[in-house]
Amino acid sequence: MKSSKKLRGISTIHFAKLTSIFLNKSWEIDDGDNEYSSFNRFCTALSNLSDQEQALVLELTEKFTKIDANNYPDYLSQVLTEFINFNQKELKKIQKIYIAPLISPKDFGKSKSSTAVQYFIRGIVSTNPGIASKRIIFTNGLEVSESLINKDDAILLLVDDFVGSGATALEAIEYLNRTKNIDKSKISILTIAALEIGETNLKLNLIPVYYAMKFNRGISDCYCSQELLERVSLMESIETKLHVHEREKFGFDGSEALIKLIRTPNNTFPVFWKEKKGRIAPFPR
Amino acid sequence: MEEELLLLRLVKNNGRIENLSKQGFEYSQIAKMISKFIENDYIAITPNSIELTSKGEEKLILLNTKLKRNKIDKFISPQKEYLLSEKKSIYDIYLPDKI
Repeated sequence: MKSSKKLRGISTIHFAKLTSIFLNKSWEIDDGDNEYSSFNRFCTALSNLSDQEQALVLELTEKFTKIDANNYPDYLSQVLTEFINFNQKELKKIQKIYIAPLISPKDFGKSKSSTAVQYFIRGIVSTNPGIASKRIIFTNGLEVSESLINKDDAILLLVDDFVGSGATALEAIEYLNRTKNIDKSKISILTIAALEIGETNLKLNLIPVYYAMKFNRGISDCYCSQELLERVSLMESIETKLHVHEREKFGFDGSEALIKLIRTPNNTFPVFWKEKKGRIAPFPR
Repeated sequence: MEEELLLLRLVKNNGRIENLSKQGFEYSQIAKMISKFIENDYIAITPNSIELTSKGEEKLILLNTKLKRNKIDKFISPQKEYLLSEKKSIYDIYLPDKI
C-alpha cells in the first residue's frame, strides 16, 4: 500500500509484535495481495511513525477491541439479558416495550449504526424468555407518542452499539423529553459498549444504561507518574503529525477509547482512524 | 528461498521490514512468513527483543550454502529493488529516476 509520505519503516521486532497481536486477537491477516487489508493498512500507518511512537501504538493495540457485525446479536443478547435481570420486578407490570434507535436530532435522516442495532434486536427479542411474551414495538426513528409511552405498562428502550461521552444520548433524551413530552423515567439505554465517562454522565441525568462491555481511558486511566507523562507526550507528537482537530485530540472530547465497532467511533484515538493529507489509517471511519 | 534468507537476516539484525516489502511482498505476506518461522522455532520473540534461535541460525547457514552465498554475501543481501533490468555497457550513461 502506497502512502503519499516518505516512510520511516518498521523494525522487525515491531512488525513481529503486530503480527502476534493480530494472531492473538484472531484478527484476519489477509495474506493475499489485498493491499487494503486491515493488516496492511496498520503497517502503512505504523511506518510513518518513529520507533517510540510505534511502540506506543502497539501497546494500545494490545488493549484494542474490535467488534464485527456478526458478533452484534450475541452482545445484544447479553445486554438484553442484563436489562431483564436487573429489572425483573418492574418488568412484571410492563406489557409494551418500545424499541427506538438512539439518534441525536442533528443526525435525523442520516444512516447511523443505532438503526442497524434496532434491526439486529428484532432478530433476538422473540426468543428471549424474559420479554418474548410482551408486545415489542419497533419505532420509526424517534417518532414516538407520549400517550403510548408514558402509560404505566410501557417503557422505551433506546438502542445503539456505542455510548461515548454520552452527549448524543443526552441530546436524544432532551429531544424526547422536551419535544415529545416523554417522561425520562420511561427511558433506558441499551448499548453493546460504553465508556465509563458516558455511563457517568447518563447516570447523573438519572438515565440507566446497560452494556455488554465498558471501557476506561486508554492512557490516562492505565498509567501514572512518568509512564503517563511519556505516553501523553508521545501521543501528542503523533497527533501533531496527523493534523488532528483540537476537539478530536485523544479521541473526541479526550475520550481515549480503544474500540472499533461496525464503524470506528471518533472517541477512539485518532491514530487508529484519522485519514488526512493522504494518510492511511488502520480502521478508517 | 531468497526472501526467507533476507527475513532471517532482518530478524538477526532487527532490520527494517521494508527491505522485504520493497521487493514486492505485501506486509501480510511477510507476516505469514514470520508466523511460519515462529511455528518452526526459527525465531523467538520476547517483550523487548526478537532473535534467531539456534535452529534459526542453522537455517540461516543452510540457506547461505544453498544459495551459494560466500564471503561478504553471507552477511549482506542484495537490494534487488535497485537492480537494473538489463546490463549496461561501460560506455552507457545511466541516470536514475530519483537522484
